[in-house]
Amino acid sequence: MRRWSGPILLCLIVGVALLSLAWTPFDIAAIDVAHRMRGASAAHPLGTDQLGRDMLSMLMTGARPSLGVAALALIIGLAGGVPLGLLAAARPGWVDELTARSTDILFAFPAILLALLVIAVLGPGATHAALAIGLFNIPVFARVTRASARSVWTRDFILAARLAGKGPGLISLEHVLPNIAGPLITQASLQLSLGVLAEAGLSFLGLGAQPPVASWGRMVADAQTLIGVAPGLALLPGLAIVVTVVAINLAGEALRDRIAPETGL
Amino acid sequence: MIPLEIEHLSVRYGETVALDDVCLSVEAGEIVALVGPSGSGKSTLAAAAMDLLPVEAIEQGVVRIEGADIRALPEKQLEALRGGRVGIVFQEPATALNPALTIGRQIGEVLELHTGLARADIAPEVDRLLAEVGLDLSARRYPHTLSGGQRQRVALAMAIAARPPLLLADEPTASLDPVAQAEIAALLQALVRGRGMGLLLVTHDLALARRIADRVVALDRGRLIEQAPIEPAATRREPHGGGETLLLMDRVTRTYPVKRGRAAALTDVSLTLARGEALAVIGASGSGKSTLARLALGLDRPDAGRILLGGQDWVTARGADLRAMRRRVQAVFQDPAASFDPRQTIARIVAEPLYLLGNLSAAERIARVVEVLGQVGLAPDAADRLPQAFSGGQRQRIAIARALILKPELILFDEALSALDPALREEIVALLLRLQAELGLTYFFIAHDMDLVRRMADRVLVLREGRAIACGPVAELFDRPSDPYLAAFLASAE
Repeated sequence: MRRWSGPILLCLIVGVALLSLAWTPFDIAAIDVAHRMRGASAAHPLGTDQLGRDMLSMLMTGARPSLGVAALALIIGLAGGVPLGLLAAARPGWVDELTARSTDILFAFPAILLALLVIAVLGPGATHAALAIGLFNIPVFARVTRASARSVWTRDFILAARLAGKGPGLISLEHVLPNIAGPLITQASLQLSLGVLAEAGLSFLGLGAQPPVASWGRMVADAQTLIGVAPGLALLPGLAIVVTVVAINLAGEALRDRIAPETGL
Repeated sequence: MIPLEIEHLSVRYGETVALDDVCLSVEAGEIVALVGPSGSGKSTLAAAAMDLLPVEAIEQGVVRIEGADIRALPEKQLEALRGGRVGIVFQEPATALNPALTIGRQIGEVLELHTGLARADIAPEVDRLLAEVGLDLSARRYPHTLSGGQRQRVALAMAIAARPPLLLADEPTASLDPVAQAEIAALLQALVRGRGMGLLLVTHDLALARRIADRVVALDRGRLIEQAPIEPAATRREPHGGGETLLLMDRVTRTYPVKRGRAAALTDVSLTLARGEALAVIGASGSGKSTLARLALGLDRPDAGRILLGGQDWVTARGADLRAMRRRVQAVFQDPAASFDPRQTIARIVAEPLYLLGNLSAAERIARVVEVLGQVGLAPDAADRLPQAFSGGQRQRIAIARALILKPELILFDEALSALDPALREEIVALLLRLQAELGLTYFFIAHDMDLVRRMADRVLVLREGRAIACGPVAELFDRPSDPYLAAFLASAE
């Protein structure tokens, strides 16, 4: 049960996000101030928000920027960090030194400041948020990849591959990458859930997805002054964020157990 | 009183019988060596002597230390027994010592726990113990500042501090280089004789057992065999050689950068290897053996000197020439667990060198894999399995199969047999001799084990601190060693 709960939950959330592209119970652009802040009813199972929009539809649509931004940031991090880490591990010397030092410099800035800087330059928006978060993912993956790959490079089977005339690129792909899948999957699930949180944080500050696109972070921000009147408006998107993060972590663990059971942490 | 008596001991883990009706005693002043392949029950027997086995595992039998049945003793007295009445030395001194405490503290702790010595008398006793194990250094040193041999001496000092009547040594020399091995073995012998202790020496090193033990008992699948240790089955073939030169190393030097300047791993080493010949390179750990191996394989470049394989230089060869050179030489490594990618099947592992031949069809590949698996005595169905499914000996066969698939002229063995127990080593030696006869291979051994060198090699090169100190035919060099270091080194395995 524990093995499947994470993947099932995550599929459900992704499914809802995809469904919202085609169908939601109500149009989230339909403002109905007359019926604002209503409780649960047959028409609106989760009630309505301060502008009378259907909460269920808002939450469904809000999953899109959360998952989309985190996933895009993860892809940026993997695409940038993994090759960098593999290169550093395969070429000890100045290449390795350069990567290690430049990731150190990136790490020296607090992640959220870095994200603010990027958005200040590029302007707010979901794509720019993904870029900012993804930029911070690159050194994280470069480090994990480099550290794991270096230990693989010391093994005798690498010598055997070199004796077979294979170069560092091919060895990295054939021997190193499959053997560091475990730590990479663990890190990827961690960065994905951190990405969901970061997106929520940026949206909360109004730097993420812009209206009229719904996003969980901004729903919390918009509802915070009303928390005494209608606590559900802030609590429901907050709960959605928590459930998503937990689902990602569980799914990552299940995936790692399946693909690289020997590297269990 | 007799230090250790074991009577009709049977131990069973679930369905597996670990020990079957074993009787063994160790007298005062006697060294009993317990030998046997891995999994034969050696460790179980040693654990039984300290009552470290789960109660339900022991089916029957009695273990007595100085006449007292240890299973009848209360836990308090057992604690006094372990480390007090029974001294213990393990294989790996690096893990047996606490890195955060000085060696004096650690030896003193044993004295505090197990002897009635007054606080003021402890420090002089520690110094005396250090002298007794042949260490002339301060008790304030930390373990990491000592060499492996010195650490093992400290571990020995701890083991004998409480003047135990019985000493248990579990592979005490296995992690040391040959010179240190010889010294520790001599020290063990001297201590046992001097103090009149009994020593139960657990080892898979037959040479060591024969050299220092009064009696050698062998365990095989939990049963005690009274027979003498296994005699070598395969015999050394007639010396070959004298053909054309296959490998030539000419005044090769290799240095590595260190904190200040560069340290030389190899200095001015020259050697030749003729087609069909077998050359062994021996030396203590850190003598440059592995560097030499990497250079010969073209995996590393020398700072000075030339390395020619079949007349071509590793450094200047490019493209097709380099690939042709690579096809002529393959290697088998020490650790059969680390030499395969754990995520690839045997078929992929064994076929890896075929990359050098360019495009082969899948059918051709699998045909060659099956052929070469057959040559090393493995069934074709091994191809679909992962390396984890095989035992140490089978893995080394797989490694040999991988080395053979390109039909190379030269195969380098980097301590390839040292991780195997004696019975398996015999099998692999026989296999290598057969393959050499059938395929006319040239062998290059990097070795620790003199017995193996005597049987497999025509010539020996001895390295010390990166320099070649002797080179010549095996018989000549072993029987009339020309320098005292060499003599001590060779004596360590005789």
